[in-house]
Amino acid sequence: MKKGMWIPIGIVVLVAIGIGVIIRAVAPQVPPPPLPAVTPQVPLPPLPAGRIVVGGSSSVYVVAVHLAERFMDKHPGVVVETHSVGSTAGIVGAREGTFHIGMASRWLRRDEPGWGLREFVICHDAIAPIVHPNNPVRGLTMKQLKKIFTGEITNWNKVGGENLPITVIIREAGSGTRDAFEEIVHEGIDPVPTLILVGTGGVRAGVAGDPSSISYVASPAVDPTVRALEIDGVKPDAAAVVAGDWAIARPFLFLTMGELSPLEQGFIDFVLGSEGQQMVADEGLVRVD
Amino acid sequence: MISAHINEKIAKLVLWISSLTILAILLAIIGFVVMRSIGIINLEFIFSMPRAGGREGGILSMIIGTLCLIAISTTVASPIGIGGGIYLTEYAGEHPLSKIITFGAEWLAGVPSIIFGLFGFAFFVVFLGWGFSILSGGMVLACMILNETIRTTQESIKAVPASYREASYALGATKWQTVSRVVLKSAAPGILTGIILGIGRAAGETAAIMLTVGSFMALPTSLFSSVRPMSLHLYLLAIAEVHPGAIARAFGTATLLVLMVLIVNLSVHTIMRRYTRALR
Amino acid sequence: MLKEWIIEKSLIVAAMVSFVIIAFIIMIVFRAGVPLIAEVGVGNFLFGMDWRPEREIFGIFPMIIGTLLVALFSMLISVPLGILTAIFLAEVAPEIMRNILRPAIELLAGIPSVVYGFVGLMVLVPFIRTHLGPPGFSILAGSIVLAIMALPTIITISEDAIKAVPKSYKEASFAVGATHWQTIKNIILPAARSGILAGVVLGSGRAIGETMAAIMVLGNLPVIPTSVLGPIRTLTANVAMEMAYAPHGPHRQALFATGVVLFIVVSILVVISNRLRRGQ
Repeated sequence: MKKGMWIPIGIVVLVAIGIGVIIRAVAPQVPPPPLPAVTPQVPLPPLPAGRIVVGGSSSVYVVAVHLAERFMDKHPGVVVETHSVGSTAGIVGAREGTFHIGMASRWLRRDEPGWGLREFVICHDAIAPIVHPNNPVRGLTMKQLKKIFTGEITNWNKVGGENLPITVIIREAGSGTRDAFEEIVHEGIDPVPTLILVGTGGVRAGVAGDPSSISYVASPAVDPTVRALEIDGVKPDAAAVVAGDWAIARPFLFLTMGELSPLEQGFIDFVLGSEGQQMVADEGLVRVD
Repeated sequence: MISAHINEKIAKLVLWISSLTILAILLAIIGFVVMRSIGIINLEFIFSMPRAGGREGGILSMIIGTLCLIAISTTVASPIGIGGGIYLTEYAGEHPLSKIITFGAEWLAGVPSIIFGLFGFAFFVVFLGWGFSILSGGMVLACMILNETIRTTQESIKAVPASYREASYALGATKWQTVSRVVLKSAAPGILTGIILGIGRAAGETAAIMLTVGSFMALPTSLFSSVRPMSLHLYLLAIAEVHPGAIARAFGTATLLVLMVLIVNLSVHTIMRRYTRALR
Repeated sequence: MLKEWIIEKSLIVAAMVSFVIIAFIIMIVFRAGVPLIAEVGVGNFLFGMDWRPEREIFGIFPMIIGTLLVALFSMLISVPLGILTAIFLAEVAPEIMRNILRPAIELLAGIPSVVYGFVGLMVLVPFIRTHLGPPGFSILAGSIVLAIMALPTIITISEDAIKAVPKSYKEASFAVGATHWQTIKNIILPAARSGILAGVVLGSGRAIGETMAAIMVLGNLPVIPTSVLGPIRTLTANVAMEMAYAPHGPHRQALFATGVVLFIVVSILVVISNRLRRGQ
């Protein structure tokens, strides 16, 4: 390349970076500066108009959407953006500032607790194993469940079903539901899946479309297109989790970094308050208050 | 000779069959999508907001999201692409730089869209701190459609007869006067088709934006809002839903996307037909 | 004169942008991905059989095989169909068919990939599941969808190559009494060979780089398949499905590293097709 050519290249690069930096400087991207926290006792504290970005677990997303909608109804001018991107992304996003509030459907692990994130447990959830509604198998034992997901049992006739090879559908890496499920059920053995599908909805749609399939979703996501299995004779629901009968349970977390802005505080207070908790319970989750 | 004759017949039959197969595939795809969306597509679907995670309501915010992305990407890519195209055809000449740049554009055209997505995520979303936003997504799309604009600009400028330029120079016009008043004027329709094709590409692109615009369903309020463009909405509904309402809406969205492509192609054809007639 | 100088320089800048984007993509994607490849070891990364990001085991061999297999199978379908259609368009088709086919192929090229993936998911996957056996998400489904998507590229580039063969070749062949098909087979196709090959290479590049359709119908399982009815994960799908759930640390780096491999593969294909086309 000719020597003179580096000047235009340099100009383009500098201008690109310059514009970026300027836009970054004026962007309302960073959380608004922390104001003195409003006292949570005041009913419906008047919140400044603004926007908070909430993102993470696709399981928590299912309830967070409703919570955000209700919250926005109560506070005109407030926008709560919700993103379904997976637990790990929610945790990382909260740490990096992509999300004001990160959502996770598992406990923090390994190095993550050291990041200085604040945890709010908003509820607990039963992970439900799901099959096609036409599958005659109504329940499994915990052992059978583990053997199916680790590839030891590969046909439904071994567990009282038809002579059909089992289609084991699991979630993608980074899913909190998958992490929690494998931690509780697999006992350290790697999964041997037939398919990997994306998101809570993805595996549910996969199971709904395939009579020989099995997968798992957060219990609020169980709908008539699939059927939840009983494990050791217990139904996956809030009551079983509270009674301690359902082992495949995990928390839903909100995660924040640094000081809470009034908006973030307001939203978290709403979720942890009686109305938010009632909505959570209506979704089939276990309230924490 | 008889065998040659029969061979000829068979060969032509095979050629006909393969072409008709392609037509049949196209018709089957479009027919399937459009048939399944009958009953869902109406003004209400287009002009109302989605509800219940896309299972009810319309896709207004997705259409707006797509339009925002188109607006940003074409505003950014058009001037740069046209400028680049002008330089390559009118100024660069046999300069070795011109070959390098042309190859760069060709290379850019071959880069898979998911790589643009990775780049956009690392650069716009994280490094520049724009977050999941219309701006990040629009800029990634601008990078992607740039080469289309350059290529069509080059082609349509090359089609302008040399006599036009000579006449302009003979009248004492400078190079830029010639380029801007004579060459660009007659190449304008061709350049416009390039921009329109870019719009079509930006409207349908999914992989590059799924890592950069987020997926928030509400109407955008600023350049830094996250949106869920139609293509991404279709993807998210398709992989995650079996609810009949959501599937019907997915088909509706797919039909609108195909319709958009159809409009883009039709307008390109119309412009080109006028243009070639005018040049003659 | 100063104005002319400024304009020329700013046009150069515009022309450089596409090259700068390429440079940026390489810089950013490679910077994020290469350290991980170096740490894991090129051999372990490229030929590792296990992809278990949660335990920081990153081997992409099954996905490389998957990507190549799907590209190969889709080419088996689209190359014959595409070349025959290109011959038909360039040599045999009556005016009416040409006027129908050309816009049809443009439309085929313009339909967003997510729509192809959606139709594949709605039609092919259930069909294969019920008639050929579960799980339906399979190499077969992916190959068919990607074949259709690669068709327009193969057809347009091959047609251009065939048309570029000098008329005199054809006339000479007719003069010695060859039939039309003999002329096509013995004279035109050999002369257009490298151009057609360029189209095939670019078409397979399209199949390798396609993300949305791959992620939607291939089942995404990172293992080496035992049958065409089994699922597979492509490099693009690996990036898209796990990056959308943006992870951190080594996992994120490993996805960028996957992007690096993909970028290199596709760039090689672009160079080959560039050479082939220039060689004609």
